[in-house]
Amino acid sequence: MSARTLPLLFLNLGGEMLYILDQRLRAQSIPGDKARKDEWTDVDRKRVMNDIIATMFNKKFMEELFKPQDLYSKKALRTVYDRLAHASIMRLNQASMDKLYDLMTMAFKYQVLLCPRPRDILLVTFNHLDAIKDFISDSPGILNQVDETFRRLIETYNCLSDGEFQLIRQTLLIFFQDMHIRVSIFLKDKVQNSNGRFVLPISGPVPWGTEVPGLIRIFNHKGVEVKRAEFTTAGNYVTPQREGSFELYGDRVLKLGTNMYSVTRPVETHMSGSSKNLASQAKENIAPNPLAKEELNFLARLLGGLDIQKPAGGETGFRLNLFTTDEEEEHAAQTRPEELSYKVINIEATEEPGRREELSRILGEMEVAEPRPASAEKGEDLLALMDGL
Amino acid sequence: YRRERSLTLRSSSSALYNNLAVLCPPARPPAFGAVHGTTLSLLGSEGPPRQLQARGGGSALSTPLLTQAAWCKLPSRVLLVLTSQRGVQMYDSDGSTMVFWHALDVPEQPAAHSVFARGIAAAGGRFICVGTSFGAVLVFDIPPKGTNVTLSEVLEQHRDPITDIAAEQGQAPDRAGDLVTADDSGTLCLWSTGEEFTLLGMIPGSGSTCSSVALWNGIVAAGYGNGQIRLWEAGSGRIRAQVSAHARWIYALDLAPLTGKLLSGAEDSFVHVWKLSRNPDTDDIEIQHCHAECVTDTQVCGARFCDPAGDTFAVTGYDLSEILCYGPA
Repeated sequence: MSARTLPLLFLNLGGEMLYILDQRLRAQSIPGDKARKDEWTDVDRKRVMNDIIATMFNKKFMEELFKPQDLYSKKALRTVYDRLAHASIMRLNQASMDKLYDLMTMAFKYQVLLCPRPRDILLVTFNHLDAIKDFISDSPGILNQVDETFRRLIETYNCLSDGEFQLIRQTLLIFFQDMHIRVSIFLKDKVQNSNGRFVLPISGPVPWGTEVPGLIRIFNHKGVEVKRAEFTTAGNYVTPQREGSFELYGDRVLKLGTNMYSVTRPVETHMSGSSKNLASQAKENIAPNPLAKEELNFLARLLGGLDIQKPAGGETGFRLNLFTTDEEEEHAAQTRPEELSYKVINIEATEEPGRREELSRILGEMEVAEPRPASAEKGEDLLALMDGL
Repeated sequence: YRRERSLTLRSSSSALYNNLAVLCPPARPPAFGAVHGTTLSLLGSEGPPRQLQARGGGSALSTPLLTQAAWCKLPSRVLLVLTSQRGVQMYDSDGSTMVFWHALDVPEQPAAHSVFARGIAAAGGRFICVGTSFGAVLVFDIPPKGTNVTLSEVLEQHRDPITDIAAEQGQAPDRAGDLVTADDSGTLCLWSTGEEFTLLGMIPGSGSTCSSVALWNGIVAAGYGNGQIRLWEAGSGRIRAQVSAHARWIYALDLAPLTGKLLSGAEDSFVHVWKLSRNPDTDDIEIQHCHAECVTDTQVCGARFCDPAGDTFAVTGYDLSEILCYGPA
């Protein structure tokens, strides 16, 4: 409903993606001198992070992102991240990409749900950006791009009212509705129940600007306080210490949006399996979408701004596995429940030579620097192509 | 109170203010409605559950999102009203036939300011009032039967999106007005309804959104984003009570007119039952806490009494595919 939701959704999901990729790359990296030709080194990791971050914060891309617009479907958004994750020498199989997207979305859903005030979603975003700046701290050029986006966020969002932030939050919650994928790091930390729902604590600091519940004050018709009474509940709240900073630099206070992964805590997901809740979500994914053309136009505009460097002739892409073994990845691909399939617009993976040519043409057009408004015919071309895949 | 049965919904409820509609027909079990994205799930007192879609149309995105649904009881008929990003839909009470559709002025390209309708109430025995994100309140004149609904007036007093509208459910004292409208900035406006609505007073907001409002015997009960419930005297606009009721944003308030019981539900997982009272001689207004319920791991988005005395109530929560019902202990 709020037309200002997309930048926050994109940046926070992107931030989570970078946390996960960084963790997996570190876990799978080999010291430089010992590495074989197909193994990761620290240098490779830094390069991948730099490439992805540079692509994400590309100026034209950001301009498109910040235009007022409604949120598109999970399917359309997933395609953007697919492209982003492949912006460097790294390759991900479908199963790993699925898992990555699951983790990203559940993490941000958790953060949105647990934000004390709707306005704190901005602090969560700043936490992600602070961490991103850390990843590329030795690349001043990219650092500049990120700071630019930071300033743009401050300019666009700091002046919004609480009511507008709540609308943004409600829009995000509608986007995340019915997603209950279990994430093992959440289960271990007891922030998620075994049924996939998040634990909502009824203790701790109240949001900044809210009072600890319990006091009733009565005033007479002259406005003078004449009585006080108290009531108690099961909740156990305290007053907060201080408010987080909304400036370019500062202590955000809030921990949501900071990196919760480390090399020693591998990330696994469990599929929720078939449950009634998923039925409605599945219908949304599988039923023919008459507005696919709108979404393709959106993708063309957005991806048109992405300046993706394809690896030069001799270089082969390195494959990153989000699972612990290749067998696990293969197993996950085969056993993913039908209703949780993202049915990604998988532009890269097609076998027929004729199709591949046409796709390369479309892809080539989509990589033009200036985003061109997609004409109706182009939209139809893409649509026909998708149907045929 | 204690927890009774739960009713299964076909889809979970969305995190929207006042996201539970209840119709209590005399001598029949109540009917319920909860919004999920673009659809309204209806559980009627008889017949199978039904789903109503937001009416689409226009060049932009797919089916628009619904913001709220409510049954409006008028002397001659009961209408089910749905508000969305596109406009206002009115159906007869079981949702089987659309009676009226009003489209909002939606710009071609999405503007930074969102467009939607939100806030529904029957007023003056003859009108249905619907709020908009522009701050305007649309007043529709409803004929006793048929589809000849007309837009009678547009009230332009609020400058922020309307959140909720409530009509007087008891007996209004003189000059107190019989309708209250609330907006995102916390501003409340008091009106007297009729051929022409008159603005009687305005209570300015103080930095916190008023998401839900009720009006009873000249007392305005308002729930705010900072978790407070405030009681205002409708006639004078003076504050009469302030309660630190919830630890998070209040999403729903409801009032039982026979007893003055007040129900509040918030993102903090709690539902509270309060008792309002007004002493006609001393003019003291009081509020007492009666009961607390914690809906574990759920952000409450709708709460309504299911009978005029407030002996039973129902609750919805974000991502919950059930309506939780509570009855006398």
